[in-house]
Amino acid sequence: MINFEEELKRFSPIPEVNQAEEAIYHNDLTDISDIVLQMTEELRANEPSLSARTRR
Amino acid sequence: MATRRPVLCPNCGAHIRKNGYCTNCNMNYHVLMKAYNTSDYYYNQGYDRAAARDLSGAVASLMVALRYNKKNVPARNLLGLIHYEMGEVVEALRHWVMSVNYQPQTNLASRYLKELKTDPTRLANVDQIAKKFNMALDYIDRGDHDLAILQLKNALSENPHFVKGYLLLALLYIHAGNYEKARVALRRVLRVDKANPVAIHYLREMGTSDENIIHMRQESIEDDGLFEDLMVTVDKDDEELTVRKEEVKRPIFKEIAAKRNESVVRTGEFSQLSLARYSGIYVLLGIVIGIMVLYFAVVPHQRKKMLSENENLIRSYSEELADKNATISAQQAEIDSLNNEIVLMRDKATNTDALPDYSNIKNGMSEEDLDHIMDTE
Repeated sequence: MINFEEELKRFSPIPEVNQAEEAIYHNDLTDISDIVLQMTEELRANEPSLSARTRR
Repeated sequence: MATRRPVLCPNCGAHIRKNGYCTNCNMNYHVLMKAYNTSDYYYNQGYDRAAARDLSGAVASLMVALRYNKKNVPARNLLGLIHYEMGEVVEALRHWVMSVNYQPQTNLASRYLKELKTDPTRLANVDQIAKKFNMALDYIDRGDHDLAILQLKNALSENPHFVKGYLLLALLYIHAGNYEKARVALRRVLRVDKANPVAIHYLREMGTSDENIIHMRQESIEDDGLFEDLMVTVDKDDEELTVRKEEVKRPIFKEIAAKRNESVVRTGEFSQLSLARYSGIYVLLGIVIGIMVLYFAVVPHQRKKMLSENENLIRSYSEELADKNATISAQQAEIDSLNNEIVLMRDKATNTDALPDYSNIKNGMSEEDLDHIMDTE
């Protein structure tokens, strides 16, 4: 049976037109390249020899 | 021998080293290309789903495509288009703006944004729909389900493709036990988004079989009576018409205005003055007034100024002339006196040029002088 309260949680307020700018600026979509870059940065910080290896 | 073109990093545009890593961002080129290919695969899947009107499925595929490559411009544009179709215009705007940001030239999203910008009433309408939906959520929080239903119906009558609105309306009807109306709302969802998982979930919970769900997609939504309480039947020339309540309001006001006008004695026909029609006359009138102002105000002042300048000039010349005349007369007087002097001098000179009268001299000599002269001779 449908639980009204639980189902209601699916519905959140829709951004209005004047909030569009905010919605665009807070576009925090992360893709594979962001993740790989972050991982590379972390590895380079932990293992300085890695940066030399990738530059060869 | 053919020269090989340098391989550029798709992430930052820098050169790729021989070992496959970018010289700038140190990104592995092969990993990145695999991610981009996967993104394109999900974009194609999303496109196929959108073409089959499985909009929810298309959104899911396109979101995966963007997780692999957020700069996938066609995926962004299609996602925006789907959100627009489902009545979520702000979401559509978000994706289109990001798309234009990643690729400013030859981007389809530029045209979509331009079209939205040139139609401010459409944006205002979208804003109103969003406000009504949010207000309905507020009413639900307060327990005013009837008011929430009314707000949702108002929003849906303005945008019949607003999927979220139909789903919330269906949920409210299910909660109220009005399953028939809930089915009608969900049928409208399936017309826009054929495989909407929430709509299918609600229908299954209400005991609708999968066959019926498939059949519901083809049913007409024209006379389903979802908005019947927003409509009224009016008699117009012995014909019964069903129109929206808001549309009825306008003729009533017109009738009141017409009755008010009938009680006033009309002396003539008046029509609304079109200002644009008389613009040429206004321009001509403006030019005439300008010329008159120039003739009556500016020209006399200029003339007066010129006259006074001329008078000053004449006065100064007269004074100068008088000075010159005085100088000339003084010099003339000097010339005259000098001429007189010359005459006198000439006269004197003629007198001195005559031979001496020796007789007088002789007569004037003494005896001794004369003897002396005689002696010497």
